[in-house]
Amino acid sequence: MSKVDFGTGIGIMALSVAVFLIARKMPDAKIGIGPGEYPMVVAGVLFILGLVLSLQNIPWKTNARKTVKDIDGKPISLQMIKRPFFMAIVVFAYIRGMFYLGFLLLTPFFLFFAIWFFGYRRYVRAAAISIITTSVIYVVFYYGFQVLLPRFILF
Amino acid sequence: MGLFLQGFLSIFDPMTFLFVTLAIIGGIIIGAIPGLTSSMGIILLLPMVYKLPPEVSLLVMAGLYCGGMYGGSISAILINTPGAPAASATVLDGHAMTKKGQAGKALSTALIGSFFGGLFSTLCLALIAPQLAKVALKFQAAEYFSLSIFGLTIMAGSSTKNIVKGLISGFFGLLISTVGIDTIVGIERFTFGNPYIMGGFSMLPVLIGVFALSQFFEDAERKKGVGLEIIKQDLSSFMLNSKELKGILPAMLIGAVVGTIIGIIPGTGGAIACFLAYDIVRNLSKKKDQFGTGLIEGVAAPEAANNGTTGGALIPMLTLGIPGDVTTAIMLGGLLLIGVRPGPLLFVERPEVVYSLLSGMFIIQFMMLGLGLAAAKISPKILDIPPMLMMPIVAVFCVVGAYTLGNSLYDVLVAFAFGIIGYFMRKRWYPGAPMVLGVILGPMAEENLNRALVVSRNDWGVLITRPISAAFLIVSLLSVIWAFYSARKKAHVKKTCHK
Repeated sequence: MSKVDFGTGIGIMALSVAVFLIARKMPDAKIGIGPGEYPMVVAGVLFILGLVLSLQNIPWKTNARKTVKDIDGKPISLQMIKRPFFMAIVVFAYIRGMFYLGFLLLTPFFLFFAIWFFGYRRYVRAAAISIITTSVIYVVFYYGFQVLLPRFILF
Repeated sequence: MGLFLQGFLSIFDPMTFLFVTLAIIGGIIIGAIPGLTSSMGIILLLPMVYKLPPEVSLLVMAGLYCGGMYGGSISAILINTPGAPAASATVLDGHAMTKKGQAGKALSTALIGSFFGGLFSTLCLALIAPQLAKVALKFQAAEYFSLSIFGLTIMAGSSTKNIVKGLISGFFGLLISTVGIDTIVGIERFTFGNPYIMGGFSMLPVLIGVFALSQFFEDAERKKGVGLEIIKQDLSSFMLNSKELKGILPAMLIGAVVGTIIGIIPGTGGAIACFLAYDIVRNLSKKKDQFGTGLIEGVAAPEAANNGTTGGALIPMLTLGIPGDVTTAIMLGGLLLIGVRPGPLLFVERPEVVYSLLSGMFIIQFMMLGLGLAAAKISPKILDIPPMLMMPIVAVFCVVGAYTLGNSLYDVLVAFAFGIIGYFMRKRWYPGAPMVLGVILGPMAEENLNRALVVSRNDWGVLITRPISAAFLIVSLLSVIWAFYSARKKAHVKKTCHK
C-alpha cells in the first residue's frame, strides 16, 4: 500500500483523460486509423492501468500490510531530492549554456563542479582531469567521428 | 565449394585482414560509446569503402557491424549505460554482476554469447538463407503490429515484481512515441505549437536519459561520495568454467534463434531481439526470480540475440535487397555505391562477393572473439576510476552522445528530460526498459496497424485471421494473464508465510 502509488495512479488516469480529449479532436480517417485513434487506444489502456494501480494502493485500506516491507519503491522525501534537483539545474544550465559558450569552454567548468559535487576534494587533480577529459572528447568526436560539437557563439 | 575456399583465403590476404581487424576494433569502440552506433561507424567508413574492392568493403562493414553489436555490452555492463540500443537488455543483469564484483565474468559471458549468436546466424545465412527469406516475406503489416505488442507485453510482464508498473511503463513509452508529426496523415500531435518536438522523441536520447542520466541523478543524492566507493572486481575468475559454459548454452541457443529470426524480419533489429530473448530465457528458467540480480544467463541470452541479428539481417539484404535493420540499410547503400546490387540475382551474377562475405563472417566471429577477449580484459580497469570522477565524465559522454544523433541540443534536452523522468521511475520501481521498448516499437505498431487496416478495408479481424499475427496476440494475452496470476500467487504465499 503506498500513497505515492495511489497518487500516481490518479495522475496517470488524469493524463489519459487529457490525451484522450486532445486526440478526439484530431481528424478521423475514412480507412485505416486516424492520427487520433491510436493515442486514444493507448490512453484508454493507460487509464485502466492507472485505475488498477490506484485500487491496489487505496490509502484507507486497513490490512496487515503495514508490517510488510514496502516493495513498491522507496519513499521520496524533499531532503532526498534536494541534491539531485540541484544537479539537474546545473545540468540544464550546462546544456543551455553550451549553445552560447560552446562545448570546449563550458565542459571543463561543468566537470570540475560535478566532480566536486560528488565529493572529490583534490582540486588540482580535478581541474586537470576536467581539462584533459574535455580535450580528449573534443578531439575524438571532432576529428574521429566528424561531429561538430557546439562552439562559442562569438567564433 | 571452390568459391567458399576462395572466400576463406581472401580474408587472410594481409591488407584485407588488417582492414577487417581495424573495423572490428573500431566497431567495439564505437559500440561501447553511448550515443554512437555501428550504423554511424559504417557511414564514416563509406568514403573508404568506395576505394576498396567490393569483397573487402563488405567484410569491413560486416566486421564493424559485428564488433559494434558486442561493443554495446561493454558500457552496459560497466557503467549501466547501453552503448547501443541492442545492449539495453544486457544492462539488466550485466551491471548487476559488476556491482557484485564480477565485471570480468559479465564481459566474457557477453563475448561468448555474441560469438555464439554471430556464428549461429552466419551458419543460417550460409545454409538456409533463401528458405529464411521466405519466412521474412510472410511477415506483413498485421504480423509486424502483433510482434510489437508481443514484444512489449512480454517485456513489461517480466521486468518488475509489479506487472502493472511494467505495463504502465511500456504503454507510457507507446504514448511518448505518438508525440510529433503523425507519419500517416502528417498532422501534429501533442506538440502544443512547439516546433522542436515536431520530430518526436528519438530512441537514443530516451535510452541515454532513462538508463544513464537517471543513474547520474540518483548517484547525486549521496553526499561527499558516500556509497560511491570503487567496487573491487574479481578478475581471477574472468573466464567461465565448463559448468558455467554448459549452463548458458540453452540461453545462448534461444538467444541466437530469436536473434536470427528477428534479424530476418526487415525493420526490426537488435533492440527488439535482445529483450525478447531475455524474456523467453527468463520465463523458461528455474531461476526466474533471480533474473536482474546478476545471472550469467541474463547476459548470454540478449548478447547471443543481438549478434544473432547480424547474420539474420544480412539474409533479406542479400537475397531480397531489403535491409533487415538500419545498419544493413546503410550497408546496402554502400554496396550500391560500389556497383553491387543485392537481390535474388546477386548469388548468380556476383557469387564471389556473396561467398566472400559468407566465409568472411565465420572468420570475423573468431576474430571478434580474440579481440573481444582483449577488450574484456582491459575495459574493467575503467572501474578503478573512482565513481566520483567517473559519473561526471559519463554524464558528459551522455550529453555528447545525445548531441551526436542530430547535431542538435534538442536531443540533449530530450535526454535530460527523460533522465528526470527515469530518476523518479527508479525511485518508485517503474522499470525503464519497457518504456524504451515502447518508444522503439510505438511507430512500428501504429504504422503497421494502419497499413493492415487499409489493406483489409478496416477489418480488424485481419489481426486474428492471419495465423502468425494471431499467435503473437494470443501469447501476449497469455503472458499478461500469467504475470498477473503469478503475482497474485506470490502475494498470497507471502501473506500466508507472514501469518
